[in-house]
Amino acid sequence: MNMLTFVSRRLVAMVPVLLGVTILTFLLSHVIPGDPARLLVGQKASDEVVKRMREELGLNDPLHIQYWNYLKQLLRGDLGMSIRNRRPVVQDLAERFPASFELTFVSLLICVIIAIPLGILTAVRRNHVVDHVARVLALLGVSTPVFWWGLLLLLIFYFRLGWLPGPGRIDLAVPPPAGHTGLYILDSLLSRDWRALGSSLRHLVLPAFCLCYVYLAVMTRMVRSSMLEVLNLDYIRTARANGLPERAVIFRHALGNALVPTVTIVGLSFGELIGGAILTETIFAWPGLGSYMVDSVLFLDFPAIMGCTILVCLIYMAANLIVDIAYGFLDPQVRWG
Amino acid sequence: MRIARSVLVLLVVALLVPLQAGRAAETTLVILIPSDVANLDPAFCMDNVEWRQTYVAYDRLVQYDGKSTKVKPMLAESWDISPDGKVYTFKLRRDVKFWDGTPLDANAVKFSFDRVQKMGKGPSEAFTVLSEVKVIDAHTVQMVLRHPFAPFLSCLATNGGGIVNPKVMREEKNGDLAHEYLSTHLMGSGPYKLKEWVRDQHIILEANPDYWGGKPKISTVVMKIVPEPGAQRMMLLRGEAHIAEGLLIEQIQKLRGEKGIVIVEDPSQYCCYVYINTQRKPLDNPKVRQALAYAVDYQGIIKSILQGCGTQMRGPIPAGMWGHSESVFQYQRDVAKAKQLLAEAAVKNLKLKILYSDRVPTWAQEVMILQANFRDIGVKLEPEMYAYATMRDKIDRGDFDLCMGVWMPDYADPYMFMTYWFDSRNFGLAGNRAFYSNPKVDALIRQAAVSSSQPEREKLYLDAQNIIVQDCPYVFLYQKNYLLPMRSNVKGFVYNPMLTNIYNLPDMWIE
Repeated sequence: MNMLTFVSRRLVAMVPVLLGVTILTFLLSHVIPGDPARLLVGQKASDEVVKRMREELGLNDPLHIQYWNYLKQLLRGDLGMSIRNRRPVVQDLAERFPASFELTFVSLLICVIIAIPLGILTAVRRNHVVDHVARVLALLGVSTPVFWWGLLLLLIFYFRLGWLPGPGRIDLAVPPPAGHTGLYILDSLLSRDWRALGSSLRHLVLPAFCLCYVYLAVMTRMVRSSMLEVLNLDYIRTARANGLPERAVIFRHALGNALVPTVTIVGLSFGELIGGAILTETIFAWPGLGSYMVDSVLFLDFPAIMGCTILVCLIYMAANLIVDIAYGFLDPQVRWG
Repeated sequence: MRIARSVLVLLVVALLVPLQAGRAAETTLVILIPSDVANLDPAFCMDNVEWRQTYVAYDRLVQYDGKSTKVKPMLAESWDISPDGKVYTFKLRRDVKFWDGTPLDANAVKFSFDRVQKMGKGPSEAFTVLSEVKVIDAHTVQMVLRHPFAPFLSCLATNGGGIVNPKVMREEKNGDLAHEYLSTHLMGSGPYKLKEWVRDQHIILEANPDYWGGKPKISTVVMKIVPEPGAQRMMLLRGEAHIAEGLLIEQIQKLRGEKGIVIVEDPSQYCCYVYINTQRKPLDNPKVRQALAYAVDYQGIIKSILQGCGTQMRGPIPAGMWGHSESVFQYQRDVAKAKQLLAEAAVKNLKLKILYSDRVPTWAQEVMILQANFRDIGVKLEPEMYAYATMRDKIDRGDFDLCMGVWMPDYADPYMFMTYWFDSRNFGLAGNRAFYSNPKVDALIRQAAVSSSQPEREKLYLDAQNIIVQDCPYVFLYQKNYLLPMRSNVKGFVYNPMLTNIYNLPDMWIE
């Protein structure tokens, strides 16, 4: 099977998954006791006002009719109006998604850039000082809560030393870069707005490091253990017996195979972080999807909950697809299909 | 490869070169707020955090006078009230224009109130008594009420009484009375206009130089959204923000004495109380309810949770609101008395559940104290924490024994407490969350609501309060002080208990 057929089949298979997710989310969010109409009109509103609001929001229809209406709307690419913000959910998501994407992408990039060399180094220098130090750092990473790291980073680099800016995505005095993607770094590069580039980069450093630390720990350990496993295989012994230099053995022959589990982790982490970086977003006032999702759930903003779930589900599926395609490139034994 | 290297160098240089931006000019006020607002339509939004923006963008007929809960003229230069208390005639100022230059006249006033009523959302609740708005001439407007309603002038000082530019109807879509447009735009005549609103990042207001009340001294106001209290504290201390709204009491107390920081502290109308479901056995017995009220360590709660920044409530009408009386009975912790009352009611081994959510951060701690207090009188209290939306649903259905609650009045009248909390027509979320019904109390508060004589109303409310404290449908816990940390160079701020989270920006300046 060639890659195109593989991708097409996977895309078709996504439809029932997506449908299942919409049914499940719709049911779960609607069976929770609570009335968004009440929340919307304020606690002192009379029953009459609440009743009118319920009608306006279509909350009086039976659940299956509400779902059917939602599905019809969804097929037209319309995610509905947010109950809380009274504006299209698509617009809300379009504003928050780039912020989440930028933060997640940069965090995972930092993670990969550090974790792969460090993982290789600790595997090759097993039980040396580097290995021990990396193990302690990894342990710290997985065992320390993100909110604590976040506040500590702010306290040191923003409050005490003043090297980096405080919470936010860009300085107040700097207008956001012109552009259509909403990704400040890309937009400022494209529009050659160096001031915005500098400010958004500086603002990104602390949240990106905070977010990547946990994954950095996991990924370093993952690369290390896969490398150790691969380095003990017969084909590596053969390569060494043939007199290949150690650098070529590691980078040309061992690394590709060892990276397969790491790629899986990167793919899954991407999906997880896009909507799940709530604590980092809160500490660094980062206007991402995570906090939007939490607020929507607390407010029982059904269209927003559905919209976020569908978006995160799509990202998970896309990340998994990319990971599966990447397997084929990394490991010659893997065939698409 | 070369391109990649160039991009990398560029990124590093951009990162390392410190920005020349410097600080914003000193006529810019930066206020840190914990969350974004949802909607800016004055006929729709019901939250003080939204009124923070709308209040300075729209003028009203009357306004609160400084710290006082009495109203003074704003757009209305003067007014007359008919002897039967049903017709209010307002004479409008002649020098007021909307931001686009359109004169603000009687038609605009009629348009704004008609719009609030036609939309029928939360703010319309304050104007259900309003039957008709008549334009007498360009600068005279008459409001006709269905029945006399003493708090009416106070209602006009609320957010829903903001006068909107009628030209907004050009933005109307599908008969929505321009609701969608006004949800994200402001279109008034007030001292500040909306300059920019970047969702979840900041809201920027800019001064209206042609404001009829004079050009505001602060040219730009930035509301920067920073949800984490620790981060807000750092920004305030570094001087990157002037005011921090989201700090916890412990953090505020630690800021006392810090150089360059002042803490504004004033009594507020924010009341914390416990609803007792009076329809459930054995809580339908007033003696059991009184026993619970006697068990509570009020001073302990104020000392430990509020760090002393509050006072115990005395009856339902808080201090600072007219109608409050020092003669109303106040429960104090008396374990022996509580046990005796339970014995008289023949109640043993009582187990109760208390409903709360994480919406109010102090509720969890208060529930723990109540648990310990009730244990002392042999009552076992089981905490039930739900998401806020679910909690509200349970309150509305009366599905609870006890429940934590907070309340703030929308306008300066005891009606906001007495009618909402105790009228048996308001069962559930509408306000009477204890499902309390006493025909005598109903009669007294209904009579007070339509009387136009304040001494008479005070007497009626006092009589009602005396019955209520004996019936004990709620445990009145405390009235919290309003605490606001700000930089000491911010001057002119006046806290009005009716306007929590709302700033008197036109009177403020930065030194």
